[in-house]
Amino acid sequence: MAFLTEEQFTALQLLLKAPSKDAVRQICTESYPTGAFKCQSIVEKTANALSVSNSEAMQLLTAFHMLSHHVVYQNLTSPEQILSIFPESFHSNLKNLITKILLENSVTWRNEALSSQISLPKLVDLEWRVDMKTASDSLSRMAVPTCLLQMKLQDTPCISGSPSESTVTMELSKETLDTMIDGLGRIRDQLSTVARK
Amino acid sequence: ENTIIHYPVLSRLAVGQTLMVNQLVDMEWKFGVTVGTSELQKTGNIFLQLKLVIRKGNKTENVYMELTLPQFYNFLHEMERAKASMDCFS
Repeated sequence: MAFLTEEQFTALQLLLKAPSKDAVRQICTESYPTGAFKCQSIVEKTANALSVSNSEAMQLLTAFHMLSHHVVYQNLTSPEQILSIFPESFHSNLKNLITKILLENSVTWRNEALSSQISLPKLVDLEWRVDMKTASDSLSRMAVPTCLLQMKLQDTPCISGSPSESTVTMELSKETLDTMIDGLGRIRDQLSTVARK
Repeated sequence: ENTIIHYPVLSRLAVGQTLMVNQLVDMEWKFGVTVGTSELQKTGNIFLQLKLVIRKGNKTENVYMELTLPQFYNFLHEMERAKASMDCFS
């Protein structure tokens, strides 16, 4: 990931026009999500807060977006690591404030990145029921237990769009359930072997 | 006489022919470690992927999903509870 250009550092210094530290904080956190600097309402809100033009606001939001994503990507966790990114000429107090804001938020942003990364549909809920089959067209009397399992899956697209949920319900005989538990037990053993290495 | 000898076999076959809805027929898995993403240069998250094969009428459907480790342990725990419940009846 490329460092910011001189122009972008200049754009960041527009934050000096903010009315308060909280205003800076708000602009910084709002610029983090993907596409934030393209969102008209956020650009306008920032432009109004700083009394700058829309295009200047967009430059600032883009610059901060790149900076914050760089910090999360490289997992920069100490103030010294972040302070060293800024050029010598950058306003000292603003540099410290931005560093503080980045450190405050980077753990949350990192966890968000981990939970919203590319993946197969995620299991979000699980329900089961054990029924007793007492009759069928093949047998007038029977006592066969069976397990019904319902899994709720959520697919969250990374790029755009809203999450879609799907439900899958399945029936397991006693033998199938035993085999499945056997398989899950093997996974557990394999996982503990990997954890021990 | 022949019927008496074969009765257990016949009734087991009859049970086998009893209607099952969306029967789970196979399960495959793989697990690994995510080493990096477009957002995070270095990470070390374990993921578990399951493929469940379900019979729907004449064809089978594959259902793919991903579980975190806590979800996996919860899943195993729930299945063991279901098995304990089933064992009460046999």
